[in-house]
Amino acid sequence: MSFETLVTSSLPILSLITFLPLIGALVILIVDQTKVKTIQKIGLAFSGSALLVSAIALIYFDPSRQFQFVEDYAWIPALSVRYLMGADGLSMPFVVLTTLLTFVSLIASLSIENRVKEYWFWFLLLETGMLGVFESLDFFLFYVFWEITLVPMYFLIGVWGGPKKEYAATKFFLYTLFGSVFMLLSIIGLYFASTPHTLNMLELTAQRNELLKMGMTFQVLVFLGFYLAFAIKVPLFPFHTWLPLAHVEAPTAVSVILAGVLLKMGGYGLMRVNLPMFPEATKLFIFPLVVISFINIVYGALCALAQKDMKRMVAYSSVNHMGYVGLGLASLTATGFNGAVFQMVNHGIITGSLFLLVGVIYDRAHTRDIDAFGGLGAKTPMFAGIMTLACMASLGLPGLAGFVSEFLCFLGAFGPWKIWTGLSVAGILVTAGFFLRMIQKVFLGPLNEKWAGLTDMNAREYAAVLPLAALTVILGVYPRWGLDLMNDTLTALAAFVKSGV
Amino acid sequence: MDLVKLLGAEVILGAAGLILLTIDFCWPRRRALMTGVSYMAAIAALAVLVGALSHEAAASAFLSTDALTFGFSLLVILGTMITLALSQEDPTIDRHWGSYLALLLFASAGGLLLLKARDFVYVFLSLELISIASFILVAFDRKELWMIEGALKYFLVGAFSSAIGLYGISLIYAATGQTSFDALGLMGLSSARASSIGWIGLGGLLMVLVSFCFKASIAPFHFWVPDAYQAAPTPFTAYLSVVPKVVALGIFSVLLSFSASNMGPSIQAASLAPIIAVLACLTMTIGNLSAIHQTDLKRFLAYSSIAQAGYMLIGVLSASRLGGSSILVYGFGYLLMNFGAFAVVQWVARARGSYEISSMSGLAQTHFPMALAMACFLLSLAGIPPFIGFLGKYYVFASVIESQWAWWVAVVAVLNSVISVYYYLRIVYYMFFSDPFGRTVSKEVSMALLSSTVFLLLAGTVAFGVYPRPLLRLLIE
Repeated sequence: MSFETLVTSSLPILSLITFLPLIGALVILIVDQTKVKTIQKIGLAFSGSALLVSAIALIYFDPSRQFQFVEDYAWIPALSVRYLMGADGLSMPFVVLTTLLTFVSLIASLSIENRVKEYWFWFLLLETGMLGVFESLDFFLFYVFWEITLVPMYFLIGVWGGPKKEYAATKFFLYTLFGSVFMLLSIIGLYFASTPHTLNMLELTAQRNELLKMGMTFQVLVFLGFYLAFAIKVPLFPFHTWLPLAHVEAPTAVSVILAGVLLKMGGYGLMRVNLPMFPEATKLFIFPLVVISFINIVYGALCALAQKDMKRMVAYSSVNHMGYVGLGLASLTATGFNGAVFQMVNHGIITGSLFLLVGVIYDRAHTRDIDAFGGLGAKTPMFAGIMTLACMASLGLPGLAGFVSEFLCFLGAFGPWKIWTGLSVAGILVTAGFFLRMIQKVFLGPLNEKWAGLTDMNAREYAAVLPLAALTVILGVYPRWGLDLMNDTLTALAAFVKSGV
Repeated sequence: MDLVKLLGAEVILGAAGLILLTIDFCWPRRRALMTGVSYMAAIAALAVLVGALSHEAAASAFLSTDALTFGFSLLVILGTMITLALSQEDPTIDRHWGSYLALLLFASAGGLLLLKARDFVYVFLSLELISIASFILVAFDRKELWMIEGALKYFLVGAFSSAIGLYGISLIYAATGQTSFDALGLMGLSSARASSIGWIGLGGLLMVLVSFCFKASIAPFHFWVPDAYQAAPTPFTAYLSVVPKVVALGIFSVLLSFSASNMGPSIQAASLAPIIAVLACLTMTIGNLSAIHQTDLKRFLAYSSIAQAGYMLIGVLSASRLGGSSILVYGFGYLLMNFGAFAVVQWVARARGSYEISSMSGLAQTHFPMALAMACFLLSLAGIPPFIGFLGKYYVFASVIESQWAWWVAVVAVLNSVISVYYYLRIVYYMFFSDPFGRTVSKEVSMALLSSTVFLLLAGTVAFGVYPRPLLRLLIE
């Protein structure tokens, strides 16, 4: 048997990726809590293996084909629940993004010294939950993974977070749960609306015209149930209020995961469920989505401009960037969809590195106040260089990853929504404004003598940030690497969505 | 012969209870012997129950069994066994050990009998068997004045509700001259026959319903719960919060007949359904909102158990097979997670000498596995996957959405889930986010049995949540 058939058909490759971290978490559970080094090694080993397996899967992934690495087993026959996993061009980028960002975050987490065992346990459990969301094609399974991500995130923010950690953790949990319980009701509603009753996401998508027969009220209610869950995660205005608090209070590595992966679950859900499954409701809600995206872009950017705290600023910039994603989605074109998914991936990489870099300076200076610094460029040139690179990528400088995806989002949306897209461009200006202002205040000008003793980045920090910085450049110069992966699936998806609307 | 087959488990439990009383009277110091007898009785009853499964369903005019009855009976016996294990680890039950065990077995026998009852006289008889045994057990540890108050409250309310139920039964008899479900046209028989019960009979049925609501702690008939739960010895509190409650809801669903035949709801059921919907919403909301401000762990779990009863009541609502099995699945999950939560509370109370919520502080740092177990039980109670509590909630929600007209109950229920997460997380907050409490486990006390019970229940909560197939096959298929 060749290695290729082993990967593509014999091995349960997606389950392997998903549950390797869980096994790691369980192994950590039985290690003595004083053996910090052992725990860290186990964690890195299992998360690293997940990354490795996902890379192998990526190599053998054929973008031109539909769902691959499919695993299908009966799980709870009484409820027609199946263990159904599969990956296509929409999910594959997120799977790799998740394994990569988790591994990077775990490297950054080597600095955690308090309650190490619990920290690594929760982090690996979180990875399993996130991966499952992107891979499961059965709604029950999807919901289980969706909820599993909440619990570890709650603990990671609540135990290792900043001054208001308990409040932030509880708010995060309740807010997201509030959204997802309505998704649960929608799922059950879909189950009973389908004939024969099924929870298979692909079958339900194929049955979308039969679902229409349930009437418009049903269509709208079920759409809104899913939308609430996904819009809170993205987050789309006005459900973004949990985000700044959670991102700021979370420890550095957890902020990376929050912004890098968790938000993407929302965008992924909108593309996997809302748009293809409910054509009539999509028709109704597509315009509000454009307006909401516009608000996200401009309002998010203005909020970021108003921040004095670097981490808060980066957090609000996420709201702004997710607005581009919304715009790409609302275009209902292949270009826009490509832009949206690519933007989500890029945002994961770029904002991930921004949070890591803010963590670097906070660990040394114990403040994130933009006004407290000055002239650090001379003192910590490497740090200043990488930070500037990340900021430039985030504000959409051509040649770096962010530009390509933002451009595609705008390009896709400009056709159907000329005015709103035009207005949204204002957001880019403001984004440039707040990033440049931060670079100027922190790195340029005369050195603030208070920080004369500041040291540049250490090896651990390089190990975490450099892969992301490299990807930022590579995907900016040669975006085909990312786009080829998703283009076929997304073109088909856009055509399918468009044909219903 | 049929009757023996029907009543085998009850006879064993009852006889063992009498033997225990005798031993307690003659050799009150033979604790181990008495414990052994009670376990033997429970195991024998379980064996009879499982043995009876292979025979075809037995029935007489007053009693009958079906698949759902089997599942609920299993729940009663497992609950009894867990309570036995917890009771062994409770030092407050030091005197009259034999009587304690005997009463526990009597209550369980009553529960088993109630599930089979297909006649209102039997319903009343078995309810009283549960109640009278429970009255004494709640008052078993009465060192403090407030404990006596709680027990007395429980007794008065219990007696009162029994009287209402009995009056309701007499009304039904007055209207129809019948007391058996079958003759009354309950249990989903044709509506032509069902209408013969008349308005007086319907009023009677409503009073029986109220009496069940007291037993199952459905709001607004729940006010005795926190005091009684706080007063009772913790193992029996756990028992009280699970077994009688699930049994009462189980017979209730049988009565409104959603299980025995598939002929659809009777007129009674249809006219009672909106009332039940409102009661379910009320129970969840009141239970959850009251739980938020509790500072005592037992009172906290008391209110949480009220809310849980509300979720189970939703299963009664939908006139379908799914509704009946949803109560059973939920009840089974509830058995595992609620006993688990009580077991951890008992463990903490013994280790740290207090039932205050603050005594949970820093448990994650001193005893991480115990804290993790408690977190799992609480999240399961809140309905977070992949624990079994989620499966139960999924079943309940599915049953009510399937019925279509009552979908709004599902909306109220999920909103309540969000509220409940808030207060369940409060305990998690103390365990994981606060620093340790100071006092820790005294070394000489070994609680091996208690700890192993906790982890056995945890294993069930997780395993059946992740892979419920064997459980569902046993309970439903």
